[in-house]
Amino acid sequence: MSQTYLSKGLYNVISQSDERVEIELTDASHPIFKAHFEEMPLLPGFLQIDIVAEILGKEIDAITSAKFVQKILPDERLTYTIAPTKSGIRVKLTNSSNELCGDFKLKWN
Amino acid sequence: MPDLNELLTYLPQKDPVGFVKSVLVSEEHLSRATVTFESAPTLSMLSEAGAQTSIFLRLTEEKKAANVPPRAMGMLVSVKSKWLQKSEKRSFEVESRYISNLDSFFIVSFSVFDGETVVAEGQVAAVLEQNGESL
Repeated sequence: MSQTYLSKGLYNVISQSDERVEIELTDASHPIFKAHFEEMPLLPGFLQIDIVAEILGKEIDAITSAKFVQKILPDERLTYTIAPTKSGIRVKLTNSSNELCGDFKLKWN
Repeated sequence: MPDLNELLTYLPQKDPVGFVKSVLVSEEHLSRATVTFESAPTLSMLSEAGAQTSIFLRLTEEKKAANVPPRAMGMLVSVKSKWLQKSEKRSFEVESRYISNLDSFFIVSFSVFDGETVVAEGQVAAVLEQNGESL
């Protein structure tokens, strides 16, 4: 999956492997943060999932479970940790303080 | 009761993240909207569109009982969804249905239609907030 029109310029990849992806979000001037939301810029939950899929070139067939635990602000440095499960993959998203922000169980190809 | 076009001003997400382009139905426990994307959407984008369509559920009694203001903002807590039939189209109709709530925590289901065909479906849970604080 290539970068979508929504995620263009939204983040920089710091490092990546099949098990771990580190990114840094851009600042609050990006159109996504201005649109979501005007007075409280946050990374939308759906993009938290799409970013890791597009970096790893995957297409998501099913979101078995996605939990959005903590709000993610502009300029944040984030780490995705990816592990296979019996029925798909599990992705944990943490911030630079190592706090859990998202926990996603996905099926992708 | 506001007209359906006026309801669009309730949508806190703006372009390019505001996917709802018109509200077709806004009833107590059912809403339906046209959603449009600049390119074929991902499943995550359709799930967000399902959450945005749920903003147009009226839920008068539920919000009143939970002391939730009519224009409180929903923060996504969880999603589950799946493609039933992948589509490369960029415009769909999305139907949202109320399932349950506990105070300001609401669960709704959604279906994404390409014509008569349901191409994706799922559930979203959201907490309604006012000025960034849970109610």
